[in-house]
Amino acid sequence: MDMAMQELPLAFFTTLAPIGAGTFIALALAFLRADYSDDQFKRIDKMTIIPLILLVIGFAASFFHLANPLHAMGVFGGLGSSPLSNEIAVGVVFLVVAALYWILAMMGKLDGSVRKAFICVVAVLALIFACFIGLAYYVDTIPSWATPAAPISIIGFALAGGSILGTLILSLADSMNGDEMTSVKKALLIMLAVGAVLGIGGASCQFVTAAGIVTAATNGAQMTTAVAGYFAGFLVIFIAGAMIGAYSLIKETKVPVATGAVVAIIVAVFLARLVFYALEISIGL
Amino acid sequence: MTQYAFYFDGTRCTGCKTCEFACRDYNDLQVGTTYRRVYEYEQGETVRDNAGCFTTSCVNYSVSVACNHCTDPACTKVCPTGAMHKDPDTGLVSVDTNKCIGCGYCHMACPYNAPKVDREKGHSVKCDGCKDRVLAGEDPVCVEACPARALAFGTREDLMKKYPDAQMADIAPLPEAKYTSPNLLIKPSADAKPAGTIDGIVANPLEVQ
Amino acid sequence: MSETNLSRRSFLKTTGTLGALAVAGGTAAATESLFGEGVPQAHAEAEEKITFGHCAINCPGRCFLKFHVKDDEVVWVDTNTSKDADVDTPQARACLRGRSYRRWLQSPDRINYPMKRVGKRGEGKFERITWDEAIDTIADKLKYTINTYGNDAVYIDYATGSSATTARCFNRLLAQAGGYLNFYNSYSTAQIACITPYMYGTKQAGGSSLKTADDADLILMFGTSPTETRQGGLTTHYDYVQLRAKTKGKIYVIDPRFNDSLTGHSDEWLPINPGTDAALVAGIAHELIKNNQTDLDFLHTYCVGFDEESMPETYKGKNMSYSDYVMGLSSDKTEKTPEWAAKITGIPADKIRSLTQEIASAKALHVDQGWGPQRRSNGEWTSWAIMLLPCLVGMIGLPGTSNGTREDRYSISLTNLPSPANPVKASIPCFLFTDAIDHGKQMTKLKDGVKNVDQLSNDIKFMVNYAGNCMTNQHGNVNKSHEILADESKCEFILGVDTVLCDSMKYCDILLPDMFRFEQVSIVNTGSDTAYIVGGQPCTSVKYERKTGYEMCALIADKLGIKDTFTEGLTQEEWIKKLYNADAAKDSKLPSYDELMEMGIYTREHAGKVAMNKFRADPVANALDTPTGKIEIFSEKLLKYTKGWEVASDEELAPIPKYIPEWYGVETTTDEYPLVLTGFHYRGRTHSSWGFIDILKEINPQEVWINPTDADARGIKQGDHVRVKNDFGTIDILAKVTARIVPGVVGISQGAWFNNSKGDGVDYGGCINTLTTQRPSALAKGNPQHTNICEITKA
Ligand SMILES: Nc1nc2c(c(=O)[nH]1)N[C@H]1C(S)=C(S)[C@@H](COP(=O)(O)OP(=O)(O)OC[C@H]3O[C@@H](n4cnc5c(=O)[nH]c(N)nc54)[C@H](O)[C@@H]3O)O[C@H]1N2
Ligand SMILES: Nc1nc2c(c(=O)[nH]1)N[C@H]1C(S)=C(S)[C@@H](COP(=O)(O)OP(=O)(O)OC[C@H]3O[C@@H](n4cnc5c(=O)[nH]c(N)nc54)[C@H](O)[C@@H]3O)O[C@H]1N2
Ligand code: SF4
Ligand code: SF4
Ligand code: SF4
Ligand code: SF4
Ligand code: SF4
Ligand SMILES: [Mo]
Repeated sequence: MDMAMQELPLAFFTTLAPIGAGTFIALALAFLRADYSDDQFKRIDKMTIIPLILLVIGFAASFFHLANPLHAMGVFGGLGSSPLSNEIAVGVVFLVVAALYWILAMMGKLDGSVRKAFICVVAVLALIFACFIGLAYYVDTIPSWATPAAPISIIGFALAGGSILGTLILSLADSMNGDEMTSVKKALLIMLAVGAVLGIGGASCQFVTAAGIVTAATNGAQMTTAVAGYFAGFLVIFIAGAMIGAYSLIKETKVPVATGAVVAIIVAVFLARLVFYALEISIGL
Repeated sequence: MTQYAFYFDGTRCTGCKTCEFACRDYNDLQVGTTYRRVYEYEQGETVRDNAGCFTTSCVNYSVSVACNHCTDPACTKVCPTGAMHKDPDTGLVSVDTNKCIGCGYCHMACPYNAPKVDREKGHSVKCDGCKDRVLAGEDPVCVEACPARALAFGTREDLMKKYPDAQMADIAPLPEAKYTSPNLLIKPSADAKPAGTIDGIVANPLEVQ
Repeated sequence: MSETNLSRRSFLKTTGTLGALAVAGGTAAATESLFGEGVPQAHAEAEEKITFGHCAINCPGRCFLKFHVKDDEVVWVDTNTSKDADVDTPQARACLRGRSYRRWLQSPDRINYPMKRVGKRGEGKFERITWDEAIDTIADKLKYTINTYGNDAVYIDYATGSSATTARCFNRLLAQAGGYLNFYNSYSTAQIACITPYMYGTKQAGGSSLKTADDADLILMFGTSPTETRQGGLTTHYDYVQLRAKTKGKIYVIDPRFNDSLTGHSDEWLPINPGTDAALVAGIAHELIKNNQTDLDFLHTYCVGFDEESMPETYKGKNMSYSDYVMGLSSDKTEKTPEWAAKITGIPADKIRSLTQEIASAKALHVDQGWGPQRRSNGEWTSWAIMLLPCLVGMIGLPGTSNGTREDRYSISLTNLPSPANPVKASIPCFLFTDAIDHGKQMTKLKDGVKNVDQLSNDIKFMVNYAGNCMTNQHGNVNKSHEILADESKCEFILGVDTVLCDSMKYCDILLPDMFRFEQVSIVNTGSDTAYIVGGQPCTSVKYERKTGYEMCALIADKLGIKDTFTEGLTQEEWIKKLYNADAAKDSKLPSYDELMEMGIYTREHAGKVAMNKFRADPVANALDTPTGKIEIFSEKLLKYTKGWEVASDEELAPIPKYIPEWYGVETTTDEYPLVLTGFHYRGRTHSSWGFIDILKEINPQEVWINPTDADARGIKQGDHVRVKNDFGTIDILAKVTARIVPGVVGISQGAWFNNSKGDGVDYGGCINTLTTQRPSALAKGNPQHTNICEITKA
């Protein structure tokens, strides 16, 4: 786990950013599925600060991961070739658009179809961003990372985490219950289910891939055994979080329950990310 | 374009680590940082039978590696800032400390464990091929240090001419050369196993962190 | 192969849990990157100068060092290099330790001022004093000791940290002050140096140059790791690599440990149980005798004692010859068949047979031995047996052969600072100095090997420890040494001179801050296949209140009223110059003093020497200086010399090179301590020197080598902390689980710094001497420090 601890800031980033981004997907789904009153929108917009805060914390963590944040502007120098440049570029675009969306929404400048269109753009960017977070680790020389499982798991975390955080936001905005919300709940439930499958599936695939790698310098089986406890923790907490989330979507949605689900998912994803960094296995030394 | 390269003679190397410490002294590297590492590869067993007699299939050899200034470097590809760059005149790969953000991606990508991030310095650090010395017509410090004369440095062309029995760096525990086309020519010892062999291990993990 | 290296890679320079996060917030980028590289430096680059010097620690390299100095500080250390040097250009290149000298030179732990002890002996508490106070105290204590007890209560402990032509100034001083108790032996070669003269005499006993083994077709290296123990310079690291590249001979390295010299040449390893080489030789001899493959002409013409025919008259008819021992005709009635040897050595009988055939058919057999096999309880006989091996097949004095001693070291002779004859004649084996402190007056010729007197008349009361760590760390049984030295009523005064507070220094009453040889003018000579002399000048000005050993001695001499006798009006530099000029006058090829200082290093090539070739050519005209003039396989002299000696029940003073089981060996392990523990000299240190340099420790971890069989049985994995324990102490150390050591035997490198600072009786430094004995070997009374047994558990 020592290796993962060294990447702690990145683990924070790759936990919070996908979940924060995914929340906008959830909001987009909700906005497409139900008609909210202006009051509801006002309350929802207020609560939309939460995913933005998560994103900002995530970005800040990634910033602190750098040994020289003062040169950070140079990070776009490798655009196109460096997966990291690509990730940050997409991330920044997403963040700017998301923030813009939120500011305009707060200013009451978004109504009706404009809002719907805008949130859809944000949601699509969110998905792309999640994908690029995963792709940042698609490095040829690190076979335990260079698998589709890496972006897939991040997309899964974005969807699962986003749907649950979305649920919380909507319920905090008192806009989750009632018959007219059934289709929203259904949509979020599907989003959660898809996310859970991709998240668990992706992370498990990655884990199994790592376990099968043997080089003269590293033995994947031993490395996975060493972090198996963390991975089991991820699975248990993630499934528990998803089930609580699902429960709150199926039954009447209550803030404390949704909060519990959000906390569980964040903890679980964080564990999965630690495991991910612990399983950096090079083809070489 | 000139491409500089290292030559390593596995039949002469004794794993003494003088090359590594010469570099660490010259570059004033403290605990935690080294630009050159000496990997000990080990395979086989030494056992005692019921009669108390030994048989051994133990194979053990050392490989001294720094940055190989690869023709197809994994590090420059992932570098988001272009700080990690390959000099067009010498082929040496080094860090532009004015650009580096210390993200560590070069470290992750390099299959030779060459670059590391030095937080105090605020950038990644690694072997630069002693480029100042090389430009002044001298050899790298590590190369001149080797008491066993197992190391050499020069343009890839010259080295290939001078050491016709040298091969691509394709021996365990190094990764296969195809990944980055390292500019490291090796004369393998009789013990050497092909890159990718997984019957053996890096036997000195504490010495190559 | 199961063990691998988890978490091997670390992203950051700062390693450890939470490392990244901890520094992430904390450290801003360095100023350089804040303002970019373009910012002009505040001060102009200081001029760089280069000085020459030499390594002086006890390793035969004495390497040439080139100091790059800026602003009166060394910025990096280069050595004897040049770009155009190809593999065949001999250069005295420093090893990794020499390359790390700057860390020691500039260490914050260096002793900078004279100090006096303020805590208990061993506690390590000292207080700065003036040079006047230090010198007064030393001179007073010396006068007091001489007046109260006599000069034979004064002793200079064995110490090897400073080699140069003027490094022995304390011997000169104390000889001039009325004398001191002598020692004989060394910790390096006690057993082999004792036995060799019995067999080969003294004058022609040296081995062949390594390079002459180019002509051999079989090379047997017993217990030696030339690339590890002669790592830099132009010594055997280079010579051995050259030999290996050139020789047509097949090499076998016979060692319980796959030592570093085998790296990349694995098929050369012939694993053996430690302490059993004499049994291997006996097994080979049996096979040779049985097949009529011994060179009887040689054995009868050049040797005595091989068989009945060549026994000295008085011992005929007593079945005391080596051949009778081997063939089961001597008192033990046991034939030393390959099967017999296999059980003891661990080398399969078939392997012994096939090796015997290789030996018998070799046209030139080159037998070389290191000093590992002899630093043992039975080392006299082990080393003797190895020397016997080439004699059995007449492979002595011919091209490509060697005589089974260590390889020759060719060097140019230089004169050292002279000492007058020591007025005290009594001499003790250096390994018994703790006995001489504890109960010197009971030490006798017959029991303890005291020489020149029958019994000592004093315990040691005043001791000088100049450039050594042999009072504790490098001596046997550190815990026992602690008890003896801590008692101030025993040795009443100890002077320590060093550069750092090594463990031994903690027992000293006054500490004096020495200067490295490259901080002063110095000359040294050494060599192996190639000889060289290094001459150097101070790398910087004198820092703090450090002084040279010569200056210290001159100050003490002044207080004793013998300053002029000591200095003869000369400074150290003037002495060096005078001595060198006299040498150069005798050896016209030597450069002048000024030329030498200009060059830094003077190298002399040499064709290579074949051991005992003159004796082989004409054994009468060039008779050996043994009693018979021949090679003595049976030593009547040994029997005579040891007549009346007190011998323990588990030892024997055999007059032939027979196998004698070790008292802590493969045949004498116990249920409590089932593992044999053997030591070796490690690349990370020269003994304890450099043992505190963190950057060297980082890459050269202190580990116990343990075979997977033994590790698995104890649940031990690569990198685990383990406890190694026996009756003498317990150490905490990391495990190196490796096929590079034979099952049943574990190996620990000697020289790590003893550290019991946790106060729980455990040595966390992993010093092997926490586990070694103070019992000497039977004949030489030498240090058997490779002979140990132990048990290991997971910590
Ligand atoms: N790097 C380094 N070099 C050194 C030193 C150092 O501390 N570090 N010390 C220097 C000094 S002062 C000396 S005296 C020399 C010491 O030189 P040596 O005494 O030759 O060195 P050792 O390592 O004690 O032993 C050499 C080899 O003998 C093996 N050995 C031990 N016992 C037996 C045995 O019973 N039979 C056989 N066949 N092999 C055995 C050991 O495993 C080891 O590999 O080295 C000098 N050089
Ligand atoms: N168990 C075990 N013990 C052994 C051995 C073994 O094989 N096994 N080997 C033995 C052998 S062969 C030997 S030779 C001894 C060696 O034992 P020592 O002679 O004690 O050698 P070192 O431990 O190197 O200690 C040298 C000391 O000199 C100091 N020094 C270095 N340079 C200078 C200088 O310029 N001036 C002064 N004043 N001090 C300086 C160093 O700091 C260090 O404290 O150890 C013996 N001990
Ligand atoms: S200095 Fe030479 S012999 Fe020693 S490890 Fe380096 S390459 Fe090998
Ligand atoms: S060895 Fe690593 S750091 Fe050096 S050029 Fe190749 S990939 Fe880059
Ligand atoms: S640490 Fe510096 S050199 Fe390495 S990838 Fe990041 S920016 Fe490039
Ligand atoms: S070339 Fe220079 S920087 Fe690179 S490893 Fe060698 S000495 Fe160090
Ligand atoms: S320790 Fe020995 S090999 Fe190393 S620099 Fe000193 S003399 Fe040379
Ligand atoms: Mo020694």
